[in-house]
Amino acid sequence: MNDLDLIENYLTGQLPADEQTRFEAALRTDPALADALAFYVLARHTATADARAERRAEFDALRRKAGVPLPPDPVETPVVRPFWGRPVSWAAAASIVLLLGLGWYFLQPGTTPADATMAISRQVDAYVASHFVTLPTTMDGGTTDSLTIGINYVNKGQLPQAEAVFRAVLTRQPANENALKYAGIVALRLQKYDYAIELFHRLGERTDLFSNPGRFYEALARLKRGRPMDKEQAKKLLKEVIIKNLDEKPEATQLLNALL
Amino acid sequence: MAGIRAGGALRRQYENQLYEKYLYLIADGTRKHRLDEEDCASAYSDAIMTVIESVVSNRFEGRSELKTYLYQIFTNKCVDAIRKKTTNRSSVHNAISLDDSLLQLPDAARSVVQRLIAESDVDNLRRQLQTIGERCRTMILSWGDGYSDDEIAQLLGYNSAAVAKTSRLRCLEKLRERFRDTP
Repeated sequence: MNDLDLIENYLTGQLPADEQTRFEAALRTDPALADALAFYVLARHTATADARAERRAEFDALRRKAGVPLPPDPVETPVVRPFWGRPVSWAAAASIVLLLGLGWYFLQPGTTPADATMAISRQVDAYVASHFVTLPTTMDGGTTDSLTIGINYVNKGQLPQAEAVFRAVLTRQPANENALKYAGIVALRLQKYDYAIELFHRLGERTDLFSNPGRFYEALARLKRGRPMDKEQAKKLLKEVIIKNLDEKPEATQLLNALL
Repeated sequence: MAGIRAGGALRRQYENQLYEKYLYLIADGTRKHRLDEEDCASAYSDAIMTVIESVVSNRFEGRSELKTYLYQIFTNKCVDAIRKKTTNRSSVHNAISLDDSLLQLPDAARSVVQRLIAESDVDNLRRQLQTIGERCRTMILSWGDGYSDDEIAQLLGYNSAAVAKTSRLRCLEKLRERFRDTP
């Protein structure tokens, strides 16, 4: 078995326990093996990035071939013409218009409050899906701290383990802004909304940070929790994000427009 | 969706069908967000790839309709594009993400490997990947795209997943030699 095969078997958990231990010991003493492992990981990352770029180009080719289709035509609302020009009395004409107006009103498909709440919830879910499921880490050659470990648990979908790591950091460093953010994200995803709101609120209170999404994230958590005053509180938070030009202002604007 | 989840040789076709089905969202996005067509098309492609990854990894649970899910992700990508243009801030998502399989390494070994990765010439590796030969390149990119050895065997006409894996590792070895030998 060559070293790349051995490395792949190790990383995919296919080595028996004793061979795993031997592999890990060899990494400490054999620089060539460490180098091979580094190459394997880097090759995988580069292949993934290049595959995505090629796929994007293939999609562009499909788009050009199809032409960019227009969105479906909006549904035309029928125009009700008043009978002003007809030889009828004004009272009769007014009555007819009133009746037509009432008929139009009752036949319109209404948006119930429940529909609106569901739509907001879906919007929040989509934000979570695109921003909170895969968290960025950086390869800076030396970061093995607890936050990185926690982030990698999140990226593997192991949320309870991630929660434990971030809670431990907050026990030692209650004001650590990254721990507040990531612990809040994990709590949100685990539907522990009370805890998520508490953490994001603490983050949002910080005025010394260059970048602070605390207010926006607290709004998201409140919208998901959905208690009686949460929606109003979320609107206030979103307005604050917009007025003070805080992080995620464009997203806050969009969400606030949907709420109003 | 079922076709994408099932994988195999037809997966790409189903992915293309998904892409083509909601193409009209691009025109919708240019109007709504006032982005040019290329930026919107890029956001749309990214949204489609995000949805595909969610479907394949079973992260998309189907609580909302696929179209609604895609539309919301696309909208967020458009907003990201607007912010990138207006603030000139480079997204943190461009950072190379740590391979989480390194987590299982002991701390000392993980540090050494991370340092080696950080010191590597990624551009050189990318150049070698471009010129390694079409078959090897396809194998390695398919592997990077998340295709299993079984799917790669079907795509490239190998007799079995085992044969495909052996070929893939030979291609990786070839890539490593070229990467090492080129300054």
